[in-house]
Amino acid sequence: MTFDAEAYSKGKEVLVRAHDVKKTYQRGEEITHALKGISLEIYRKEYICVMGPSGSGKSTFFNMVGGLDSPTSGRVFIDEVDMAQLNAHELAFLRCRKIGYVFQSYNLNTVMTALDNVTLPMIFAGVHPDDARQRGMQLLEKVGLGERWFHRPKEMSGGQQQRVAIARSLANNPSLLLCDEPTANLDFKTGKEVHQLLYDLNKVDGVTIICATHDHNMLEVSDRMIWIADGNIDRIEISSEVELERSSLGEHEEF
Amino acid sequence: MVEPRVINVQDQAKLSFQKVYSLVRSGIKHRLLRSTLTMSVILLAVAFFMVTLSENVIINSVAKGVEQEILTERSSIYVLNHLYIKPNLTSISVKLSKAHDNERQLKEYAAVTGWDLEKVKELSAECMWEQSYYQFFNNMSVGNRKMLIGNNKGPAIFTFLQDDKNFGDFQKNLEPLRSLKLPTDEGKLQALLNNQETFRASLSSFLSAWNNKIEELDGKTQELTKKQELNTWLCDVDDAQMAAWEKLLADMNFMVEEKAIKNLQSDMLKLRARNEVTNALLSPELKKEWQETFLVKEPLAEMIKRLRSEDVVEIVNKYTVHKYTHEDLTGIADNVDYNQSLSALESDLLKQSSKDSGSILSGRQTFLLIISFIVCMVGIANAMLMAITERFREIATMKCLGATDSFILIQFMMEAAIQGVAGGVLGMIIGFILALLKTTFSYGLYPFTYFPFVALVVCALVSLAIGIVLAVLASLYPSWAASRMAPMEAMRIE
Ligand SMILES: Nc1ncnc2c1ncn2[C@@H]1O[C@H](COP(=O)(O)OP(=O)(O)OP(=O)(O)O)[C@@H](O)[C@H]1O
Ligand SMILES: [Mg+2]
Repeated sequence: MTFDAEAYSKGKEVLVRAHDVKKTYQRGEEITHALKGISLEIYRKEYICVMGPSGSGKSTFFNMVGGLDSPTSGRVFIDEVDMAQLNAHELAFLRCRKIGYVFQSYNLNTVMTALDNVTLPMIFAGVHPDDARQRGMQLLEKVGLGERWFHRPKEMSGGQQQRVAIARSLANNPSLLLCDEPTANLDFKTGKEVHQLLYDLNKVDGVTIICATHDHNMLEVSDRMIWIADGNIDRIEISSEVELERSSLGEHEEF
Repeated sequence: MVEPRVINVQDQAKLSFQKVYSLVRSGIKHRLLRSTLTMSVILLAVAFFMVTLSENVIINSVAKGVEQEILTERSSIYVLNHLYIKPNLTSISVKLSKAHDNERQLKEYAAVTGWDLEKVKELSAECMWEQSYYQFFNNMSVGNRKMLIGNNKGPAIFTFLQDDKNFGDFQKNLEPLRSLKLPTDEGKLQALLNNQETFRASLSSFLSAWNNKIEELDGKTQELTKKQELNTWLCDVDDAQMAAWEKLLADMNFMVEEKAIKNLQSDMLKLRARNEVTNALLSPELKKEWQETFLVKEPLAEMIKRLRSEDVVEIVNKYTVHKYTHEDLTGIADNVDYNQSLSALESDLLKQSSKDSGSILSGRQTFLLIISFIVCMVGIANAMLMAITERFREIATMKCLGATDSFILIQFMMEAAIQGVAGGVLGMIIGFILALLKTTFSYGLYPFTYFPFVALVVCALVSLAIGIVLAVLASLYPSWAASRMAPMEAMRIE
């Protein structure tokens, strides 16, 4: 089935708008077209899964949306703000307040405690240290690590580290959470915990989540799945409809 | 498409210095091993630099002090030699060249010889040029000297160069030897050469005028001392005789400083005592008795050491005309030691210090300093570069969390500055202690006697500044580059 953009967007507020985003990498003679023109709208409070084979350009797309890298051509708007127009200082502001990042390899500061890691973005945002500590503790409790606030990353398991990273990404109440393969380094069970956490965040707190993954579990919790292949959008599916189809087809697992 | 909105960053927090500092401090605390490593590199570099610098400063200060001591110690001998020893053409030129900036000495020469003061000054200046050329030829390698002036020595050099062909060769041979710098320009050298005959003539006429007066003084002094040796006579002289001698000097226009005259008698007594006792120690009879008393056969140096013991007073006095107490003998032993250590230091320091080159640092010292500075720079730059590149991922993550470029820059600069200060201060102290130990090892307590406090404080500040500035500068580029990088690029580098 095809994705009916007009019908789907009705009554929804656009948070991310990508318009013909292209990215080419050049290394000497060799040119890689990582993204070949992606146009997409993502709405507030949506939970999006980005799927696709390795090397298809998922991470590249994430970096464009998160303002971590700039597209070769095309535009990305977040909250109707054109990312290309922002200077370094404004970009820093955006990363600090509007977007939260969760990486495959956690990227925690290894010398800081869990709490210090979580409060760091708040310090950048100018939150008073006492308030930052209080909110940091709340966030750690939310991800189930309230008792482990004084642990350093090397004293925690992968799943726990990723939960700290998620708590950190939520520090300044971002409207958008970007997760690039958050469960790739985790086993099945802890992966599931992280999924559950993200799902709750989306459904309870209304955080917009874009999540790249190879993990089929994710599909169940997402609103939409975007399939990327070879730098292009292959297809877009709405989970509820897919599930309907699936149940009528007798649950075939094929991609 | 909707009109793009502009983002409002007004309410973005400006990070206070204190917050950055507390972040940096906790960073250093938790990365203690790595920061200690970086700090140690700075420490070593600064210490190395400080050792070289302060060692030079201490040696120069000791050299100056010792030179002064030697001058005072031997001043009486200088005075007597100046008054009673007739110089020859070579030594008068040296004497005049040394006097060129000593107005009092020049006046004495003029007054004694009856020459015009201006003419004496002119002659002294010419002697100075002559001496500077001798020194120039002396300091070069034998091969170069041979090529430039053949086997000539002294005034013959100038005679040799007066020949047009020889001078042409000299100029041609000098051309490729760029490191050799003539004491004057070539025009001045030409003038000196053209002026040789008149210069020689006036130098020898001055010499004979001076020597005539010296002879006259010698004659009159002999009348006064009744043919006694002057230094023996000075030992037992009474006030009236002393006044007569001083009047004799003044009548002939010799200008001896009052202070020098005052010391003459005591110095001569010291000298006599030393000579008398040393001579006695050398006599076979005393040696025999010495050996029987102390049951050892000792060389002179050991015997002089034993002069400090009470047992020898009686033996020594048996063989001397004048009688000496225990204190006298101890004084003689000390005096001999002191003179020996001074002479040893003098020759040692002449090699080390930059006294002759006129600048604060000699070529060898400058070379060492430059080397240590380069070591300092390379070491610190490498340490800082490593410390930052290995943290690219951390920097990228912080940028993702909203750190501004300037925060990253300030954070790393501050870290570098803190490490620079800590490493710099420790390195400076260690370097200073090492330099002090080194110089104490070679010169005993002289570094403390002539402790160049102010110069060492300057050295310390310079090394400290170099440590901090180099650390900050070396981290400036990598941290600037890291702060400017897009977060993803930085993350990928690792
Ligand atoms: N800095 C770069 N220089 C050159 N090529 C790059 C660079 N970054 C990514 N690429 C290329 O762009 C393409 C897309 O890479 P990307 O990392 O977006 O893939 P991905 O979909 O995230 O893959 P994976 O699922 O393995 O993470 C790949 O072919 C990759 O080789
Ligand atoms: Mg990827």
